[in-house]
Amino acid sequence: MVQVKLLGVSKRFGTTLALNEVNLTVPDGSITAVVGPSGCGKTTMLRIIAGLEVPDSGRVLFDDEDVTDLSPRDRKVGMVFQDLALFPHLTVLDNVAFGLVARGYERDEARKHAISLIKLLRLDGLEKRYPHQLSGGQQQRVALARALAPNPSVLLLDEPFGALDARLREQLLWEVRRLHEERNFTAIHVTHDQAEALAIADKLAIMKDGKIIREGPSEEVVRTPGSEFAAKFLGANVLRLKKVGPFMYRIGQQILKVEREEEELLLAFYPEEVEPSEEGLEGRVKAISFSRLGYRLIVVIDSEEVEILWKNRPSLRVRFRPTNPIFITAGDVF
Amino acid sequence: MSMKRFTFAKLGLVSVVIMLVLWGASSLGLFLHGIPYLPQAIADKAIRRALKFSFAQAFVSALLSVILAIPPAYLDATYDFKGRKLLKTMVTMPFTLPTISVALSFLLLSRTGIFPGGWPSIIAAHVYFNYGMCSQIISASLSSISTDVEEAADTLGASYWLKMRAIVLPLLTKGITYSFTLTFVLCFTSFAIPLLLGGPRYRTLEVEIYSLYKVFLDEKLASGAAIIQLAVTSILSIIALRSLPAARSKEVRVRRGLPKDPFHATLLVYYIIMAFTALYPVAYLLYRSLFNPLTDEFSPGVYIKIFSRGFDPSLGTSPLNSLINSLFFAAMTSISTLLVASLLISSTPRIKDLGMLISLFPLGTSSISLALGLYALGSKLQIPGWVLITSSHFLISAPFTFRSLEAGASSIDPTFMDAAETLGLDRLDATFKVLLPLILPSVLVGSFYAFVMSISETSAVALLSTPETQTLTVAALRYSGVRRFQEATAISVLVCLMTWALLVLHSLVERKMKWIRR
Repeated sequence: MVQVKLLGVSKRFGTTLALNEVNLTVPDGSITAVVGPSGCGKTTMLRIIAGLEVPDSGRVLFDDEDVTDLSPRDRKVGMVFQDLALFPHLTVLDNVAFGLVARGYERDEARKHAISLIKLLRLDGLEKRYPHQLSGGQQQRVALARALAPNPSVLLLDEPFGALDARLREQLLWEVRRLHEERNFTAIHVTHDQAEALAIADKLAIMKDGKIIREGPSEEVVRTPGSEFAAKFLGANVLRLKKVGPFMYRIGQQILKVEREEEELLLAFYPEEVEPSEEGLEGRVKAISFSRLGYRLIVVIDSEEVEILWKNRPSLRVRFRPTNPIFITAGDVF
Repeated sequence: MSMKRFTFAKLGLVSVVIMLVLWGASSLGLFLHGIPYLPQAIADKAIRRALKFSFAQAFVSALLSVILAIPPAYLDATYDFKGRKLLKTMVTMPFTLPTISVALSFLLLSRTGIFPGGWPSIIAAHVYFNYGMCSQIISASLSSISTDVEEAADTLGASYWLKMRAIVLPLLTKGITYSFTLTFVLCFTSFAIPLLLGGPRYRTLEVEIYSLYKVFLDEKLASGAAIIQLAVTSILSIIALRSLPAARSKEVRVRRGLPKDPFHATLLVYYIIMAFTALYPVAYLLYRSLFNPLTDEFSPGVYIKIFSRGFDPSLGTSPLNSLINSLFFAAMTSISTLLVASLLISSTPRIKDLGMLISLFPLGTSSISLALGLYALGSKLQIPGWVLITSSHFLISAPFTFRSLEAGASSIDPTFMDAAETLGLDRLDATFKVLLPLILPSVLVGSFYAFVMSISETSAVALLSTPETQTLTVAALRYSGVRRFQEATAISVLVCLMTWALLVLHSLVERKMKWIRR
């Protein structure tokens, strides 16, 4: 287990600034998820931690040891790549044992160790198969076993579950969680899917345009996203409120009473955190779809559209209030 | 089957029949003529020696070509830097040269004492001609391997050499095997290079067959030897085709900037040296064509002189007529292959697949054996020489031209043809009015292939041509045979220029017409 620290890391590719003075601390033994839209620099950051890219400036520390100039093989990291990168000419057993042989294990010893990991990941019986003879989920498990075999201090996951269906993805996320508890490593999981990040991570870091705009324990980040971008990325609705009087704000033609005194205020709330209320916001239902959790509604409040989850079949108009409103102001610094 | 469907299926069948007749005629001619003399050919000491030498030189040439090709291939697939494409073009350039030009250049270079004549110069010329092609094949094979695979090995703690030995080389096995076997086949059946460089001592089987037929006028023993050649090349071609890497055109490798580590930087220096070395034989050929060999005076007038009307027809026809012959055969080859290929691609899938398979048959035959077979039957049926030459060039270029058109046709959404048919066109009309215009770049590329192959082909035409029908490559061969090297080099340079002009035109067409594929 190590703590990973990035200090002022920047990286430029031609004219594109991929990382802009990134600072991040990944506590030892934690699972930290780095989320953000495509192209925000999260994979570049992961590759810098792995040693596959060299930063233009800044340092990478593993437990206060500066590893910025160390090659990937000297860093003791394990990485699961987005396209898995399984060696197509090697069997499952040889794929998993590869890292052990590379680190000087005798072939037999490496295989013995690899077999125990294969069992741990419920891949027994598939040892002699080649990657192309496996299903998508089995390939993911092999990639995970291969990365974990040399007992890395840090496990890096670069959106490895993106191509899987929701059920399989959920299973594998639990698998990672289970392995993390059993083997106690530090993990950094990069994804653009906030639901996947929340399902696995103790800590969340949100990236935008090469910068980390919010980081902290997952629950804290969800409760206080700190910016319109972070709130929207986490799946919240965001409404812009205009002050019209003491503790009185306007949204479209409706007046809301809010215990805050700001010139401009953003109100964010998650779709599932609303309840019917005669004094709340009123909107016209534009679209309805049904899910096991209830009715998913698109509601138009004046010209703004929000998504809410409604327990009972709604009528054409609904009145509701957010149960856990999140207020974001220009002065908020998280 | 509706009447229209039946008609277009029949048209496809016509093309299959044409190919079968041509290939069958050549093989049948060879068999009928040669089988009785096979035991005599097997027992012949000179033929056995030629067979052994063919194997030995092909093995060494192929091995060296592949070894020399790996570093440029690795750099080309791994790094991206200014001038990468230029280096690649320079290294690949020798493969675009007509073999007669390579042979002539190396003959003249060996006379300067740069390297010894005989077998070393044959191997040097073969390696020079083939290693760029090997580099292309290996680079393409490497480009289809994701960079992530190597990076995964890095993160798992593999050293550079372990990564190369355990991951990169095994993944390249198919590409390396294919380039080795293909080079082996090309060197085994090479004609102009061993003919000019080997002298009487180092003769390959191809040269031996030619000499038996043209010099010793022993058609029977030549046919017997050609059957041995046919058997060997068929087996080799099957091995080469079996090692053909799976068609993975998609490039998944991410290229980085200039190599930074000292080892790869050294490889880059090697790559640059190889690229510039590739220019030297061509430059030397040009130099020798421009300077009088006796007085060493600058005499570019030779280019005008040799193509003046009535210039020295003592070695067959005049070079001007040879030029006209070359252009005529090239045009005939282009037209005939395109027509047959068009009929084939408009046919039903089953007939198309059958035609494509048959078009590969000539790959298992050397050009000399193919020409000998055509000649054997042609002489019995009194077929004119120009028909035999065009037929041999048709068979030699068909595998490439057909593939080009087929690749173009299969990249087109089949609903275009269905739409044309629902709008009232019959299948053949739809092929000419919809499909062929849509795959115009492939059609042009296919016709360029056929044209270039015909222009630069030496062996089949050397065997089949009479003084009246000789082409430029045969003229160069004849002039070098009587040591009139300035004329020979001038003709060679001209063939090179024609080939390159066509290749440039080909790449311009491909670039300009990319929009059609989108």
